[in-house]
Formats: sequence, structure tokens, C-alpha cells
Amino acid sequence: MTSTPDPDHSPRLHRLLGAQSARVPAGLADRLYRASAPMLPENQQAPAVLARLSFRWVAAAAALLLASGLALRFTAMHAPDDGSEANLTAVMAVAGDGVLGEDFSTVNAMQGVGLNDLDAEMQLLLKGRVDG
Amino acid sequence: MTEPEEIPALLARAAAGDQLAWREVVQRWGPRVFAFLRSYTNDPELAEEIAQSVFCTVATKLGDYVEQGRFEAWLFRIALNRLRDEMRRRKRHARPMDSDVLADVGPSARQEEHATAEELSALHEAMQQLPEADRLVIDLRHQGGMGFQQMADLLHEPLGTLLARHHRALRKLKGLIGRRLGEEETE
Repeated sequence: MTSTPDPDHSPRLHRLLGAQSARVPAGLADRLYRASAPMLPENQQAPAVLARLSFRWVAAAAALLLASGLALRFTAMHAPDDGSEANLTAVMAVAGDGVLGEDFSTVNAMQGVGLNDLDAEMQLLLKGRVDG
Repeated sequence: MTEPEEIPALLARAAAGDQLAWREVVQRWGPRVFAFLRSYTNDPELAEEIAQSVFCTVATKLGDYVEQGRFEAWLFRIALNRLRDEMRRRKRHARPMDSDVLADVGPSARQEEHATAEELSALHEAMQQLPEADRLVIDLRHQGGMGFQQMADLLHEPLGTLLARHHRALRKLKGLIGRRLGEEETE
């Protein structure tokens, strides 16, 4: 590379500036090329493809969730009524009113199943601890 | 080498992923950007490191770049910004030129240009004494090989102002080198 002559150049100044600009390390352009070529837009396809795939995966997941929701809703609408839902609703209503407290008998009465056994078991445990 | 009127097509091909076109871009401007950076840093390794960063940035942004005859101004703007960032970060001060720097020079270049180490050292020291704006103009012009119009675009200055500053900077540089080498310049 040589410096472009300018009217105010002295020969020596021109020669020095040209010499300085000519001092380029061997293989510089190759190294710059190897470092930068992967950054070219066309070589940045991996993230773009990934982005497109991600979008498709998101769309597929959303469709799957929607289908699952519809299936659950359909199942719930066509499930036989065994009274459990009414019992649960009653328990939740009592709990929401704050009157449940520790009165398991209220729950027992409304739930009707399960808690009697739990109550008996707890009594046995407490008795055993006291006796022991 | 690509003619100036073919540069937009060359850049478009490179932006489209043409590796040969990009190689030509790097071969055409890489040494000039490096020379500009090396003159400023007086550190070939740092200059190459910054030059790599510059060309990585250019490659990344080339897809969005629209060539309107200002590619060099854009390229050197990136180089200048990187240079300033790096110098600020490292807080490096230019070192006196030493034999290691000259050892890095290819033998052909040293044979073609009959500049001695003392003369190059004098040039570097003289450049250090120039005001920042004068030094920048000389480096962009004589190391970066930029045209005055491109420099005016890069520095956002009127062309006439730039030409006048370049003229004054060369005169200062000539005087400084002459004093450094202890002799008067002969025209």
C-alpha cells in the first residue's frame, strides 16, 4: 500500500508514511477473514432456524394445551354425578365462611366419608402417646 | 481488485453470503483498517485484535447496510469507535517503537520501503505530538487510505475545512520530523 501523494508532501514524509502503511503482518487478511466470515448474515442461519422451530414448537404446544383443555371440559360435562362435587362445594363454602375451625365433625357430616377413619386414627395415636 | 463502481455489487454479494466476495472485502480494506489502527496504537497485536472486531461487526451488520457510496466512512467509523472504546478501556499509552514492531514487518515491505527504524520512530514520535484532530486526519488519509470526501462524511466536517486541516497537519509533521532527525527537510 502506498500513501497518496499530496501537494504538501516532502519526499521523505511521503516515503515514511508509505513505509508505515506498508507494514502489514503476513496472513493478516486471512485471519481477519476467518474471524469474520461466520458473522455474515447468511452464516447466521442457525439462530434463525432455531427461532422458526421455536415458534412452531410454541404453536404446537399451544394447540396441544387447547385440545387437552377441551377434552377435559368434555369429560367433566359428561361425567356421572356421584354427589362428590356437591359435597366438595359445601365444604369449600364452609371453609370460606371461616366457621370450619377445628370442628371435624362438621366436615364429617358434610363430607360423609373418609374423615371418620382419620378421626379415629388420630384418637388412637393421641391415646397411645398419653398411655405411653 | 474490484473497481470503485463495482463496490456496491461486491458488498451485496458479501451480504448474501458469498464467501469469495467477503474475502475480497477483507483483502481490500483489512490492511488499511489495520494500518490506521496500528498507527494509532503503535501495537500490532492490539491493532489486529481491534481490526478483527471491526470486521466481525461489519459482517454482522452488512445485511442491513445500504451502500450509498459511504462504505469506507461507515467502516472507519466503526474502527474509530472500537479504537476509542479499547483505548479508554485499556487506558494504554502509546509505546515508543521498538525492534519487535519492526520484526513483525514482512521482508518485502522492508525492502520496498527504504525507511530506517530511526526514521519510523521519528515519524511515530512526531505523530504523538500532533493534536488529536490533526493526527486523525493524517492517519485516516495516509494509513487508512481514505479519500477526502469519505473522511468528510466520517468526521462530519466540510470538505474545505478538512483539506485545510490536512495541509496544516502535514506541515507540522514535516517540521517535527525534521527537528527530530536533526536536519532540515529538502524539498
